Amino acid sequence: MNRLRKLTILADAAKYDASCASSGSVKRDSSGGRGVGSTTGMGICHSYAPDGRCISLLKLLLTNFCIYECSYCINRASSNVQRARFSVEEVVDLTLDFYKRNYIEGLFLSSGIIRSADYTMEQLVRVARCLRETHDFRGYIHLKTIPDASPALIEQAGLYADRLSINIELPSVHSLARFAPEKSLLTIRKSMGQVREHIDEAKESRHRRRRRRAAASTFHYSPAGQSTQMIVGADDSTDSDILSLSHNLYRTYDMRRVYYSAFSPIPDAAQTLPARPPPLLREHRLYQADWLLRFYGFGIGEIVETDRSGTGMLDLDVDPKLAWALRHRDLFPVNVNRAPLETLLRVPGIGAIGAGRIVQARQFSSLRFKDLAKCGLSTGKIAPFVETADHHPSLTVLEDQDLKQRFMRGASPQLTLFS
Amino acid sequence: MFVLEVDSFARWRQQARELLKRAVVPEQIAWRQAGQAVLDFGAGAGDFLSLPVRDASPKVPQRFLALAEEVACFDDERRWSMLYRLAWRLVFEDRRLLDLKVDDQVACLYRMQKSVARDKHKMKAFVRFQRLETELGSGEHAAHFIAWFEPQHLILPALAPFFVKRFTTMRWSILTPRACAHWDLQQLTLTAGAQRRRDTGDDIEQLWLQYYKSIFNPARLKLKAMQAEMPKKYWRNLPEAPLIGELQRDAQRRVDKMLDDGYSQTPGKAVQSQYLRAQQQRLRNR
Ligand code: SF4
Repeated sequence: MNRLRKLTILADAAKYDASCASSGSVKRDSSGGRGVGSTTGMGICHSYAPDGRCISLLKLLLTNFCIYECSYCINRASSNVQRARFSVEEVVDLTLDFYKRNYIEGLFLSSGIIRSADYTMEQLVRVARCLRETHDFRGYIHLKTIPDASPALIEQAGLYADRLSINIELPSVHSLARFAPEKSLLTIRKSMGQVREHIDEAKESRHRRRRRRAAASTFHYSPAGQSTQMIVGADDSTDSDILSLSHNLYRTYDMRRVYYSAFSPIPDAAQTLPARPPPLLREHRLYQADWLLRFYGFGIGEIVETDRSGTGMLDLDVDPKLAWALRHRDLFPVNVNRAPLETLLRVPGIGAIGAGRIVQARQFSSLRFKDLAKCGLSTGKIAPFVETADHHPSLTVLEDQDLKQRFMRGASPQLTLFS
Repeated sequence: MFVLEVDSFARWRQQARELLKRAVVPEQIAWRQAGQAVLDFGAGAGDFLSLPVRDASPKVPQRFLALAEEVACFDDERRWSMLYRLAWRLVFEDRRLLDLKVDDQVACLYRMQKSVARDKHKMKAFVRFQRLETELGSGEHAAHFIAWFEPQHLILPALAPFFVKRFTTMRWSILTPRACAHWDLQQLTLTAGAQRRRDTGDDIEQLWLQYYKSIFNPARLKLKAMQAEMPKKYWRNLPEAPLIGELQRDAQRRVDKMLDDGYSQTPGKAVQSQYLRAQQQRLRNR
């Protein structure tokens, strides 16, 4: 099988992993080296697929042969998909060839499990080692870790990779047993814990050296941290279940990101899956909620009010911040000249940047409504929720039962959340 | 009226400092891009140096200089006068001016800076090299990587060091309409602009195009999101862009087929292996 054919199969098999981030690593470049590559810490998206996803890394499976039987996965043992396998050298060459043409920031490598977890993991590590040691490659490497692999291999992986990830796969033990019967939650969590320990150790050793003013240590372990992915919509877990689990993962393992992946229709699907995929909007709402939890000071109970509606699901019609505001209309309008930052962050249409600008600008003079546009805010969206000397939304607007309808008709409110 | 010629940020900065020392008001200066026809306003550059110095070291915040350096790449001749106006206000009106985001001139400065920063970011992302064989002086051949790109602003000189640090061990040239950068493993050279060129891609480009097709999930077509980040103005220099139309047209059919085909009927060969089934069983019983 030629290289083109293998690439077709093994890129196709890798596309269900949502992550393609190349950010958060240490800064380095190729000056003085034998090879190519640099990382800026910011990450660069070199292209975008028509599905709107960033193409930053060469995302590949080393092989799509797999002895596991995860029902949501196109590579499961019982699938009729065509199989292929790259050699270590083939992946290394392809990465370097793509990198030198500025197509990518680096490699995201994962693999189906062949023979054993250790054998597979060793192959992955060999690719990373060859890139780093033989070719002095200084671009980004993300390795998907096989949770069942031995601690020694996981330890090695982090010495070459910028980021490691271990997928949690499903929101509950029960679902894992049902959809990924060979995987064990215990092992997954143990490996995540191990990765965190190594990362902390490396950080600690760098701090110690700095305190002693010793020469800077170059000892890094997965400097861009670890991430994980959860499949949404294959089982009947609620959004509240999912967000609680993420919250736990962020805290326990210091995750940089939890990716949500609405399970996608795949060719030759397993019988145990629901017939139709969940709406993509659900995944989007989860990301928004995740953001609010981590950066906007919201609690899970505020975002999904399990007690009231009882479903534990996010509203698909409007973004979670707006949904929260509509449930708490008595807290609005907020006076933008007086409200503290935490309160501004809770206003639909005001993001972290906008809130920062307001706080800065109001030191000089009291803001009028039209000044808010200069802070980069969409006045149409925030009008019902804010108050200035020259703008008082009439109470009738806020109490209007049609307010939600108005937002659903208007421009996509989700954009404002990240503004 | 003083007419001043500038060709770079460094030159502007030096001139501006001398002007501020003498408190020359912005209205008295006409800034001209060097190399362009200069209208004669009577007094020429240099005349202002005879004015008395009022303040030997006028100060602007460090932050302003960083902003100004980026804005200096903005493709509009008025950038120099606008930067001087702000520098003047920072010295003589209010040192905290940059925090006053509602001020029209300040807002404009940030808008320009954002536009340049975005253009730079996109250029880092969308430059595409092609590998050519070139002859070195000695008759030997060596790989040379060439890219043609059309940035919106005048950013190549500012960005070239980024590419040097990333591709230190490659010989490369980046050609743009208004400047070109060349790296020969030792030295970076900037030359005048070039004509559009597009060599037929090397064989790796074919692999890249296939990768672009394979990584796309037809069940998630989101053209608007894609275009927000990869606007059409960049498409003409991206080898993968011509594939977008075809992938889009075919997406719905591919999804319908997957859904219509429904569940797998006959399990694949692999699971018929006894060995594999035993292994699965062992894992499940843990
Ligand atoms: S282990 Fe499961 S998810 Fe991973 S490739 Fe195999 S079947 Fe797919």
